[in-house]
Amino acid sequence: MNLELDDAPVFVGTGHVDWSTTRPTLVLLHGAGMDRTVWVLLARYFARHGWNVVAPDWPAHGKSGGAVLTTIEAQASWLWRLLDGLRDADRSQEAGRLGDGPLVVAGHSMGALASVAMAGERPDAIARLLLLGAGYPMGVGAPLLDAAKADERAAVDMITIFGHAHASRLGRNTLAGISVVNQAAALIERTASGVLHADLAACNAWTGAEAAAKAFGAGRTTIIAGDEDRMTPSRGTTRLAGLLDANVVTLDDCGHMMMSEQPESTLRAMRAVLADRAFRTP
Amino acid sequence: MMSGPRHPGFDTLALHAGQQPDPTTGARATPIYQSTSFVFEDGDRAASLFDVARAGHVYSRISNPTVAVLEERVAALEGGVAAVCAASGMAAIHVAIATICSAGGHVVASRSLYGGTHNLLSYTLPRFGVETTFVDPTDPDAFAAAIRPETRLVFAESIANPRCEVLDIPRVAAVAHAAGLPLVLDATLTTPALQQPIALGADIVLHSLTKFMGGHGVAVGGVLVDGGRFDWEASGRFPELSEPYAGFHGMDFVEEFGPAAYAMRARKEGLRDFGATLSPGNAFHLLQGLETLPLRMPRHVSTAEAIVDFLAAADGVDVVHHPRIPSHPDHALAKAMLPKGAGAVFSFELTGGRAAGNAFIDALQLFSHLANVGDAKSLVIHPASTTHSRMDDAALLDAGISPGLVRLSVGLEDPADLVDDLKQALRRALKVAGAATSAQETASATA
Repeated sequence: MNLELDDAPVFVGTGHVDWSTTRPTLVLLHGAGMDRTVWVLLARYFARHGWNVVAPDWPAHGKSGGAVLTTIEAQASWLWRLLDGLRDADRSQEAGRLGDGPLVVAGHSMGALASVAMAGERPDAIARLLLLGAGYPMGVGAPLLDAAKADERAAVDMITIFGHAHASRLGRNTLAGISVVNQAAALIERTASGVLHADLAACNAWTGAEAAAKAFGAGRTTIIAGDEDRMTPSRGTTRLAGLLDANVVTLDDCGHMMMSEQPESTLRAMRAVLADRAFRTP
Repeated sequence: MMSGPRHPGFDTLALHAGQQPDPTTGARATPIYQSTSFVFEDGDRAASLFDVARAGHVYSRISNPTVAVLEERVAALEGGVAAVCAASGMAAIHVAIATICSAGGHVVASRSLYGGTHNLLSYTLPRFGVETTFVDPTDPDAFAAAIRPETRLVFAESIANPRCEVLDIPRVAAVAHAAGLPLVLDATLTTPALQQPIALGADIVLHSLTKFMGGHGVAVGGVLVDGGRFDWEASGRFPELSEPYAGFHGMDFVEEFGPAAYAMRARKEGLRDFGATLSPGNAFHLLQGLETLPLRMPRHVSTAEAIVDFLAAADGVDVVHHPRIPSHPDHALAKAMLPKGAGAVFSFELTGGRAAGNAFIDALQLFSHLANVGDAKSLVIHPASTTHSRMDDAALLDAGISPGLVRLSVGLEDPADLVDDLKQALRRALKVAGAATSAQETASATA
């Protein structure tokens, strides 16, 4: 769905199902250098299982225009303004209008940090957080930051190598014929110059999780982690889980890109959270 | 040894890409999933698979676990985001074109193409409203000049046989991209072991897997590889990919699958509706061959080069068409495009024309006379007496084929044995040529 925010075009994936004001809403936030297509299977699944799916391209990513958002706080603020607009009864959207029902925010990597920041900003507006490939602090090594800043191919290689489990780097995709590593590389290559570096720098710099977690409170977060994730290693995941008193689900043979590496395991983990009675359509 | 982060190497991918040991049986080799269809664990999963909301296999015309390993392996070897296998190289070419080109569409193609491809573009696709303009593949400006508003793709081969014209992929890709078009490249004769065209600018890469990729000559198959770099939406010429498709849940393939949009449409429409599917048995055979591609291609190349050198100095040979020869028009270009070698399929011209060609072919003992290339065994064909036998000498020359032209596909035998076989066959051809010349001289003297 194409719309406009801050005088810039924004694209929002819906899983190709129109929204209904009676359904709960599931927001899916992609990570650094990626776009909404990383959620394609999950977006289409949950859109067909009672959820309004909102999977935006961050500004300067995918089909969205505008300037890249350089801080996690700016991302959270932008997302709230986007959601407010999508709920506005006076504004018609291609896909309908979001209702005021329960809101679950799921974020991957950088999107996970933005999700936590959103929760800190409006703790009562979010029913649950689902954080995938998440850790805190989300430090990014100088070699990766430098390579991203210089738009060097090495940045793509580091993310795709460290971001995938050993088995995934060789391949064994259940979605026939697709190379998950080369697909991830192609997505990163599509981002405009400077965007990947801005994303990574925003992750590296964010220090707001403690305050956000304090505001959001305990026991409303699930973290889905890959056992071979070298982009957000387990130490950071454990720390973030501690701040949010989160339940952690660890996926076997899985790196940082769990939506493409282990789509079925990721679906099961998310479905277990979203099956909560509180989210059922009346 | 210092070692930074690195992707698995080409040789490793050729053996492992796309497959893990079978989780149920522990089988190390890829099992042949000889099943037409796959059981849905419940109704929800069934609906989700049909909606492309979960990953998995439904029906082997569209995807199959054995074939999927081959697809992912070829995608990995080519550096593409996805691959789709088909029943043959020609089936892959048809799906590749039909995915983005409808009635009223137009193709700009190299005039130096495999005969089957030439036939498809010249005679068959026009029946369905798709026209082709053929151009000199050595002239990138000729591609540019032939592009029309209704053009949907530029088509060429990495090396064109029989004369081994080498495509300047970056320049032709730049021409195509400037017009908002993809470069679709048949790389059958080079394989990813010698050249990775996506890295050079090609957008869709095609292979007849029957040839060097399989290498053993026991299974027919084809594949298309989606490079994932072409911006179908920005081009504005491809509503098949960037607008809802009523034939598949109203799916906008770019919107949903981003870089893999083309491959997904090729599978969801091309395999589903045209049905030229690769069988799992053939996929298994092709996987066995692919495992040794990195070992085979350097040997094919080195033996071919030895034979080129022999033929270039041999009596009875007028000219050898291989970029290794300094006088070949693409000698310098081949060094840039194909630093690992310009393949193992080439042609040469015998003194003595059609009669010498026939005698030469009949005298060969190790080379197999048949209509194929890219086998582990060395192959030979004389176009003037087989594939083009209905043409007279003038028509042959118009097609760039002299009456004495012979095409070789150099295999993996001992190079000395191949040279010996060629030597004795050349002696026979020379006798025939000599006899023909004497007869001609006698006839002239008598007259």
